[in-house]
Amino acid sequence: MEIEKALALSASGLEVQRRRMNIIASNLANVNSTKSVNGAPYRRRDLLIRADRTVSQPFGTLLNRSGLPEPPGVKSVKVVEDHRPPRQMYEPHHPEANADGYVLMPDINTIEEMVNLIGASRAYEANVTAMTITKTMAQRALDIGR
Amino acid sequence: MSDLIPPTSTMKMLERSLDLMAQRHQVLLGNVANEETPRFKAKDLEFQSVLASIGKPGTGALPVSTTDAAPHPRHLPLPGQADGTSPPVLKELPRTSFGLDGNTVSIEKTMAALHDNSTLYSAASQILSRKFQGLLAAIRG
Repeated sequence: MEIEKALALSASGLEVQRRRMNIIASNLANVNSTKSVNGAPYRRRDLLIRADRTVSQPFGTLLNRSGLPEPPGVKSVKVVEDHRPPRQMYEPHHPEANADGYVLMPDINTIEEMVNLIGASRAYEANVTAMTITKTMAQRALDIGR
Repeated sequence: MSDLIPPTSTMKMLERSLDLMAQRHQVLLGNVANEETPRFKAKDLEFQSVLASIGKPGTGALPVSTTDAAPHPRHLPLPGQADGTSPPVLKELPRTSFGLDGNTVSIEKTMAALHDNSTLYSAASQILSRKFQGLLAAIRG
């Protein structure tokens, strides 16, 4: 039982889901941000994730006797910006309003973000449960002969 | 009486099952970690055939030695493992959901399989433990 490898696999899942939750939280916090650092309205962000075989140590890969391909962990590749155009809101008294009285607001759907947040949170929990099972199995292996 | 001297065939069987279940556990962990990865294909490790081939005659304890590192193309093929058992099969699970991202992980099935596998692991490790306890009782009298 390669416990470090098993835990590293689940840890990769935890890390990716936590990052996703951070990004979703940032999207929700910026629902009304008319200006971001580059001066344009905030754009909703998303995390690009990919299956990854390099989660466990390369030395462990060399010792892998079974000849089966390693089960992949997961990694976050990069944060991507959504390309939806900003929403136009008619607010003539807003300090950022243009000549026609429209303000550009980020097109963030709070319901969509909440759905993604719940998904990420459940995926995180699934990985925590998987980790607990790994620990129980490791304990059982140690109990042999006791 | 000779079957009481370790490692007995039951012990070998249990040891191999524990090994295979630990491998299956990792494959399932990979599915859980990639629950939301686009285009990820869920996998599972099938090893019933491995365990079935352990008890069969002709698959003795001694590994088959080959004269060459790479077997001669006209030699009869040997089963994958050193102990003559067939290797476990890593297979892709059929698609269960109709998400557009091409991911085929069913988290419910995966978690059920994880629990199932770990329960069997506990059972096998306990039986192995009892084997050693029995042996100890025989030694101490």
